[in-house]
Amino acid sequence: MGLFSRRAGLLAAFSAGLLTAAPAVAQTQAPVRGGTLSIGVESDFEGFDPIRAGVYSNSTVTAASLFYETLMRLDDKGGLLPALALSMTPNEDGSIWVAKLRPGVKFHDGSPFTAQSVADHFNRLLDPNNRFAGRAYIAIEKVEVGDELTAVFKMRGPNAALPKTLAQPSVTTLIISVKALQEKGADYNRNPVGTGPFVFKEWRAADRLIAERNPNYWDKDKPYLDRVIVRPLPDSDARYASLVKGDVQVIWEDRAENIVKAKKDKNLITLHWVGSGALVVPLNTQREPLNDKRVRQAISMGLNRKGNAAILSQGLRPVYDDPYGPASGITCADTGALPYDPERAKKLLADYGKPVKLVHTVTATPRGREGAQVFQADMKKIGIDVEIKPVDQTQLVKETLSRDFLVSGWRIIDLADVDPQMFANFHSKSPINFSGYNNAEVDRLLLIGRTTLDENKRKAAYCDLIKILNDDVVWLWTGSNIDFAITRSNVRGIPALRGGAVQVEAAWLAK
Amino acid sequence: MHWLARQLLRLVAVLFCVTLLTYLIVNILPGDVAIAILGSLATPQDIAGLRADLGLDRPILIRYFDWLGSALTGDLGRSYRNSEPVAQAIADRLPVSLQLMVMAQVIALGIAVPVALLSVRRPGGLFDRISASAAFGFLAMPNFMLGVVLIYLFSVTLDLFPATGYTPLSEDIWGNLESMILPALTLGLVEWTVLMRVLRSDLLGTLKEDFILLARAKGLPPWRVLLRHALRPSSFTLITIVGLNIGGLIGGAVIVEQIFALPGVGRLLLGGIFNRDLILVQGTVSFIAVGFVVVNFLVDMLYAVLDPRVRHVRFRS
Repeated sequence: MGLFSRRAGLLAAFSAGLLTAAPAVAQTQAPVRGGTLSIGVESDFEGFDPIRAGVYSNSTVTAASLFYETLMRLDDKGGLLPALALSMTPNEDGSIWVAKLRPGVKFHDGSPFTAQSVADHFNRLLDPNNRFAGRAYIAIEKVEVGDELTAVFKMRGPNAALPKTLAQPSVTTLIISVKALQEKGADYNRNPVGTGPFVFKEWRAADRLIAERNPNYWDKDKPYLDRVIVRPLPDSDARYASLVKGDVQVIWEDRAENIVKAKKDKNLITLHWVGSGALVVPLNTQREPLNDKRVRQAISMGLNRKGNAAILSQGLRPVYDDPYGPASGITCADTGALPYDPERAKKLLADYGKPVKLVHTVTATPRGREGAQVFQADMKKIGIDVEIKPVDQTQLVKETLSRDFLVSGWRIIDLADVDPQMFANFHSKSPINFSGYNNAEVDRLLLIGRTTLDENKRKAAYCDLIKILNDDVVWLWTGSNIDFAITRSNVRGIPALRGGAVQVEAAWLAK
Repeated sequence: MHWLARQLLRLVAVLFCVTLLTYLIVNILPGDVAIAILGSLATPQDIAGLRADLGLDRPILIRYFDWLGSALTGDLGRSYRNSEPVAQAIADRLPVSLQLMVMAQVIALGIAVPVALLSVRRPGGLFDRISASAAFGFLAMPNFMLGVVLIYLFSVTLDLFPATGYTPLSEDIWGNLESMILPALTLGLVEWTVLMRVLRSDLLGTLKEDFILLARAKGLPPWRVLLRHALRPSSFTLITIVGLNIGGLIGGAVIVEQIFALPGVGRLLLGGIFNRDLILVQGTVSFIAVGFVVVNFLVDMLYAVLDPRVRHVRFRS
């Protein structure tokens, strides 16, 4: 296929996206305007300046998505839709992407949204003096201004994934007003300004955040709601009770017991989203005994991943043999996954010939401990002793990033494209390849996935990659990223829960 | 030395020890505030850089005395996470926690005093035995469990009160009371048990005194004997326990505020601990320590009001 036809293929795909700006959820009733929607989330917000916040939890993304927007959006099938940008076009090898911005968009303070706004946002995150931690995952070198409505993304290298990466709301991709930040200084963190469907009104810390309809929103049809209130309700039982009582109309939920209860309640609707990524157990391949492939393969074959996930999540969390997940669009006919075979595991350990003792570092939370306990029980059956080491979340991160662990607990988060995390976690030169894994063929396949603009070739490369990772057993995939939200039965228009965020720009309340 | 001056010196010494101990404990907790701020994607260089910016690479004692110097001028520093002034964060949340603790204490005393009085009318009788069992039952129940039970009973099933959340007093008085009743009950229903048992025990002792015998001999009705003559001298231990219970109430408030999503000081502290926001934790704990010591100081003062003998002894000393 020639260069022209490859670019034309991509342009055609993006153009198709322009024509299919349909609501994400099929509706038989016309949306009803008005009303206040209250959303119960798990935690309070870190703040809305990405540098100060560092990382947005899914509670913060839920709130931030009210008043911030991304350049592109995704429909429920992963197709690209225009948002603040109407199109994104690559050069021949994807090392430069040109974004054509939507005209007539204004920030909530009335200032115009232009290519300079885009450049200011991303360049601020990329500036090493600002120490933005997500910098390592951003493949952008810098953003330049072409003209008032043209932003030029210069990449660190050829990159096929940029539009999809920019479409998923996150601390990096939700665009803030740097102008307002410069005016407000430290106060901006608690008084955000964006272009989104709702205008920030008030944040009573640890109580609620209130946003009201943006009367000057660029999409004249939306939003339908007058007001959105986001309430941090940390206790899961109390959060569920608030929903049942009607104090809130939507909650984010991850407790299997509550989800099972909700499915039986005719006044409630359960939404779920199986995203890309996975819950994972990284193995430190640089430390004994995990530097021996036989031990790692024995662990894989001795771990009943699917059975354990069924117990821990009451059957709600599927387990796959790769970390891509259905939302990634990558489906591999053969993942090369090792089967659950405790007898074969025992033979491998006998072949290894030495006693195997492991230390499994987990977060000191019920979720962390439960996962470690089932791991320990399975390993005991094949003759491996496991000591569980529960630690605080920040301590786990510290030990894992500094490779001071043997077996850990981690997550590949749900992103629109698998490249950023797969590259960061498994490329031999990546500073956050904390398993210490080094495989030249894996490096080559990761580069193909990163740089090839041909989607079929990318998918083939990722499928070849997973066969190697599964055979070498670098990480164990113990569960998919599945997010749940539960709503009252009159709530409509909530799209796919990408990254666990509840987005309500198209939500409405049926009468 | 004058009694008051001695008390104040003691107050200063206690506060110094508490703040120093808190600072040391918070700083040796596992975890890293730089990672808590920057997130799991931070590079080691970024982490080291932020730690230097926050001054966390300086010796602990130097950092403590720096903090202490500012705290004495009312500046408790700024949150590492979101730069909010700690003093402002506490001031914003204090009314919620104070209201919760006062309401809980009122509920506890409102149950404890009548139950104790009724119990001592017939010690060992049916009411006495039932109240003792109820007291042990509530004492054994963890307050996080009690809170959830109250939510499901009064909020979800009976639809009487909101399950979670807080309405400021300035916004709606009735809404405020509605939002605080269940949290206050959660704390109060555990607090009353100890108060009741202590008061009952003191009342039984007082009822054996000669002046009570004289009151009965004069033909005073039993209720008048209890309320007018027995209750006041039996209250000293109760007052002491109420003062000491502040610590328990604060600890309980941390849990209750989390369950009911109240924006109080307890939740602020919990969030600071999870986020390794050392400055926030230090400021909040120090503030709570000051409050605790001041309350117990006031309890001491209250003795002098209740018992003239205490005033006389103190004056003479």
